[in-house]
Amino acid sequence: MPKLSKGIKKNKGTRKTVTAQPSEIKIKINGRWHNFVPERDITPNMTLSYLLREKLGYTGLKVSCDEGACGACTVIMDGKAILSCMMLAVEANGHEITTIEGLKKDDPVVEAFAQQCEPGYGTALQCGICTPGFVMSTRALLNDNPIPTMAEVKEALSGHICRCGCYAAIAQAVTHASEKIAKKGE
Amino acid sequence: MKQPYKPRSDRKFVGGYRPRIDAWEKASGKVEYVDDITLLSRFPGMLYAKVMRSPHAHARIRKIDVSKAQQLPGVVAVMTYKDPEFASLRATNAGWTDGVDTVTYDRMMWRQFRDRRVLGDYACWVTDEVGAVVAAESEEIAEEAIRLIDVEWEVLPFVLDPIEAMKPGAPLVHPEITQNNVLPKEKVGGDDVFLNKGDVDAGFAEAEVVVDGTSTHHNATQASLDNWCCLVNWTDEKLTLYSNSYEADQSRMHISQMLDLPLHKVNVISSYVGGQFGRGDTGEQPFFLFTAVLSKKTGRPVKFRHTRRESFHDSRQPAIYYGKVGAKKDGTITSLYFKSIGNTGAYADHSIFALKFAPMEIAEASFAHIPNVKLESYGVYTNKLPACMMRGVGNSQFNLIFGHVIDLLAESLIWILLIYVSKISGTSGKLCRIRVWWRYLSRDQKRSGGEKSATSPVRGKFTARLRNAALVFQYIRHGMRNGRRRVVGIFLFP
Repeated sequence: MPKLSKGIKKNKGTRKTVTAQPSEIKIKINGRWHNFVPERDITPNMTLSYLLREKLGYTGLKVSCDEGACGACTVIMDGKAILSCMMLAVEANGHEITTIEGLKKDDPVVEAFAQQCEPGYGTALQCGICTPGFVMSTRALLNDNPIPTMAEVKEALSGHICRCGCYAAIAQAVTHASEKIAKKGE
Repeated sequence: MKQPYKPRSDRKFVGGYRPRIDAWEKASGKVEYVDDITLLSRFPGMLYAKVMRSPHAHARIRKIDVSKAQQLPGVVAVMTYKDPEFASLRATNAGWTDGVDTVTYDRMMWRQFRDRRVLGDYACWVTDEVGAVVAAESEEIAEEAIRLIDVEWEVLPFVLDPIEAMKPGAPLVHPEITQNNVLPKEKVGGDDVFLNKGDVDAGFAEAEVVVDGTSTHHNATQASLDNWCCLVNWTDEKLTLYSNSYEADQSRMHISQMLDLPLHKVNVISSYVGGQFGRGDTGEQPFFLFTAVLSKKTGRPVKFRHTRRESFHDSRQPAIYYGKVGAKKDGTITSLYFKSIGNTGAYADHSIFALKFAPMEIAEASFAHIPNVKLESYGVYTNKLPACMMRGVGNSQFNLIFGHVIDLLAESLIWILLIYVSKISGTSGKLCRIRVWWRYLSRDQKRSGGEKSATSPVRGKFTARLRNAALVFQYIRHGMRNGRRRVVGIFLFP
């Protein structure tokens, strides 16, 4: 693309070199490496959420807005919460993905969300379609910062939409999860 | 400070706080919504359906050519409104939702306005489902096939405003149903004037203060995170529908009646529902039917789901309200009158619920003591998006004007009331009332910061103080005269 070369020259340092198509795409999902053949398994325009849901059946993550607005498709990539509908499947090559199915059975965050019911706050979920996203963001937050302040909780979960409106109880559930983690001494 | 609720006597279940019974499954992501159940891996050979949408607010199809779409690789079936499967179907509406008493087509709810065609040649709002449906191997192919359909439109004049639509000579949205765009009278909604208690005009004549106001509500979408989604498998004369409509029985009856199948051959599986907020009551149900027809045609399971953009096709009904209240100077309401014009959009759905039921319920509970009440409503077709209900059936539309006129009444009464109260002798009951006004004034003064406020009767710090001082002076004078020094003392040093 000769026309664009002027602009690109300025950012030479950060520019990634586009190599030839890899012969194999490797993604570690919930602790297991998966190998994919480009074009056959993964097309260039396939999103990570599509790969995980439609091809591999990890339906814990939900695709709701498909444009990064609602947070229902959140998964953890290399310890960070990301929106899987905003990432191409090929971009995950060589990375480690954790979906909600990859959490431990007695995960304190899942427990805290499930047990949440408190006068003045209520339950952390009603219809539950946004909850896996909230759980994954909370998990990523508590991995980094086991005792977050309320401001940090709100900041970390600000990209999520709960249409039933359980926000206050969700924030409570995060603090309870943090207490549970402290108790377990993880 | 939040206090936990304490019942007078200990109860086993009521009043306690318990975790949700389904919370663990939902929080751990194990719960399957309909989009999760209907994966390709579970239904091998599944096809995806898409429907053509009108680019015009009001138009009729003159000519349709689907040959290019049919030739696209991956397209399995293209069906149009001309196909006998669709041409033979009768019109339907939202009468099959909301758990209403609809059993057969002849006895269905809202049978005076069956306005939705499963697939027709006539579009009455932009993005109306019209003309053709496609079943293809992937959603992208189906979308592309829809783009390849050539249509020659006969564009008709349109109307968007309900008041314009009621005028003579306005374009008719459903000429086969109504000749003036106003919804015809039917059994469930009752008359246009659906409540007429006492004599409203006499009540207004009797009133000392009369205020009125108008409000216009807007559309609001339910925007559930779980979009409409369904999968129909119609093979071997047996139809199975997976859907996220919670009305499994109603969907069964709808499909059985519309597609002429015996009820025992229709199986409806409702999954967990990721939020409805009123969307499930909208009349946007024909997509079950065209998906079913596609499944029969292709002999394979067919899935149809809304994109996020398409989820905005359901909405809360906007309504124009006029309200009028008459009251005595002591605040006793003598007469109430509300009139509404609902913009039902292209299809009526449950507009009558929103226009008549919510005001009626409020009237039965809150207006029981008011001697003269009159409520009237008109639902009007326009070429806008169909409007139904969202988080309450017409409550927000009615409460907007109701709260507004009561506020207006209170504002015009407040000074009359203060003078009235301060003029009579200071009994302890009246004292309480004056203290309430006193607090109201001082709070209002703080809030407005001495600035002029449009809504408050207190126009500025200085006038407020002056009026308060006058009030206190008046009160002391009356109190002294009646020998109630103690009471006055309490008042001055609260």
